[in-house]
Amino acid sequence: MVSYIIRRLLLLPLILFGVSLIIFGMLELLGPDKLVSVYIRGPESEKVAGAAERIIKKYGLDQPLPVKYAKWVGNILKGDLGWSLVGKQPVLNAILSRFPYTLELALWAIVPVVFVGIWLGVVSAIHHNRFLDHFLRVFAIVGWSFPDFVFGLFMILIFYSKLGWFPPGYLSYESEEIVRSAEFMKITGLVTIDSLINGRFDVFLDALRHLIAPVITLAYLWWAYILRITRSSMLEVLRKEYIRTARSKGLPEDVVIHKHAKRNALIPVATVAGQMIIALLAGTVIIETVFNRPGLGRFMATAATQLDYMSIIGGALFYSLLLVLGNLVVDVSYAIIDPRIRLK
Amino acid sequence: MKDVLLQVKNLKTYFFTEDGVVKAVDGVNFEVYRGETLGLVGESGCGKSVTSLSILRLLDEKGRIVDGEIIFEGKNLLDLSEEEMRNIRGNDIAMIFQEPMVALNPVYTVGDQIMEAIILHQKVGKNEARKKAIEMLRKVGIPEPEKRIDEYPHELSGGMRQRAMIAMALSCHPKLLIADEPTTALDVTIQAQILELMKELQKEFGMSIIMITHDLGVIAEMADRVAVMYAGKIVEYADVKTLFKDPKHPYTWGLMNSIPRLDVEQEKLKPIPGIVPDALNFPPGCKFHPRCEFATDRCRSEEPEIIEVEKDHLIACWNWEELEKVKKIRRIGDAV
Repeated sequence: MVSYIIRRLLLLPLILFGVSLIIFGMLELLGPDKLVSVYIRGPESEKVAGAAERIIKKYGLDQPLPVKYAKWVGNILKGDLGWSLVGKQPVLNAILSRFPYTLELALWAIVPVVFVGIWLGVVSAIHHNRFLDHFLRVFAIVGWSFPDFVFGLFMILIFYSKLGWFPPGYLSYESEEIVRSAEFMKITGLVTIDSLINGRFDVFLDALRHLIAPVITLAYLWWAYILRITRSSMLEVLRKEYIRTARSKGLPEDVVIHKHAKRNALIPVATVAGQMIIALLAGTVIIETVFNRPGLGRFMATAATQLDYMSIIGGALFYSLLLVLGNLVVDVSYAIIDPRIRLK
Repeated sequence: MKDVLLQVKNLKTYFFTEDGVVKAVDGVNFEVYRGETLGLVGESGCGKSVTSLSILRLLDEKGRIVDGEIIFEGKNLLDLSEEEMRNIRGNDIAMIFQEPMVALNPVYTVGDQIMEAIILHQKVGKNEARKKAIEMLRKVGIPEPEKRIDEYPHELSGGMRQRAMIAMALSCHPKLLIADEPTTALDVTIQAQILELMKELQKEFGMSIIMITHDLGVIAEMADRVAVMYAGKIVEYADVKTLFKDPKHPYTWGLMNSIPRLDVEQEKLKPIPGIVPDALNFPPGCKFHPRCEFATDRCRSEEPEIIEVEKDHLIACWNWEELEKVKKIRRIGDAV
């Protein structure tokens, strides 16, 4: 198991090198003149005489490709991802200051989206072709068919405009004041966790109130996918001979299903669940826009419409890192579920 | 008087599929005595596996036992609740399957899967169960059982896996073991070892075995009595010596002609012509008649019942008396 993880980790730099080459190539497509003009969109202080020369020197824009690449990577490793036009701050800061909002929504959504989705899939498989199975499948496919902004707007119409339960945004005005105040310690950047650390239960509840609607929207829209994968995988496993063996031992049906079948059925589900978690961490543009959460997805969408090259490149790097690490976690979870993979 | 452990009476198991009703088992009668081995022979699809799954009530959702009784130690298993049935499975009646590769759960260790049944039925703790599991693994001839118990099925060879399956099935000392083609997926040398092991363990535990196979060699090796099945029915039922010496049903003849023999001159093996009929579309009359060279008009229209033609020798054939003459000319039988 340990050697499996080490082997996976050794592959990481190789993958990251490949990814960086692709992104660097994208940057190169701009051509040297354009590149200077992109880099020069920095803070005002750089817009003085000789700024262009400094940038050409700093990024080695007049140098051959390998040198340029080395300088680019060197700057990235120093944390210099350029200046974000949209964020009006360095790209790294822009990403890091928005990521907690995305991360918070992702963390709260993982259990309802992924784990409840898996549970629904198992229930559906157990009730194969009976009422509950049909009901869940129709219920989930209706969710899958909804455009997310439509469903999100419905949620806001019903639960905010009509009932006033779940307001959009990420905190109420009063709570935001408290969070911004000097005595509120910001340790994780996640309001729900920091508020508990600070003992402000009211802020915690307020943050939670703002999370419920987007979480429900995400869960309902994504359930169909994970439900169907879990269901078909479960159905396939339930036909396997070792399930018959387990029954022939006299094991009760819930042990047969939750011990013998589920673990085998989860192997293909792990891939999908991993992708979903990565997608959640990358930020969901529309959900963040509809529910007015200042997260990464929304930032990237704005950057794209404003042709903010540096933010886009920085975001691409950030996403690739997430994706590579996420896939590593999926691979490790495979090995935990299935002992046969540990040996390979 | 021999003691009957299991009696199957007029068992009918049908599968209700979208294409129609499949009469997989259609009126089967047999009994298993304590300590003996009953062989259930037939080609694939003749209903022998369905019979065994019916006994344990482990049919899939489409299969249903529509008629009959399965009397085990005086109780009709078909009358028991699901919970009472679970107490019998693995405890009184255990089963081993054809492919140890797919019959063991790949994501749990062999030990875990053996201990499960012990903990469930013998109400013992984990440590005690582990000791018993190691003991069972040693009994089935797995070397270094203390080490092997923590291995996963894919780390064992085919023969070792089947031994582990047997250890699992016998861990609660069942009174009846149903072995569904236990050696078919194994190498020939391993086959012999596994059969030998099963015989030894049968003596040690005094259990009965239902040996399901298509291999008459396995039957000759293992069985005390034999039921030959064809298309959901038993067509010949006799003790093993009688069956090999004096087979009466033309289907049994066919089976015997398809095994190579060293003692008789044979130009080539004679397979039974034709194929097993489609269970959705059985021929009228005797289901074997399209493949039977002795078929008469009566065979094509009326289905023969199984009757006792000699003491403890039952067959289902209209023409068995005529066939006795043919048998002498063709020198069929005398194989034991």
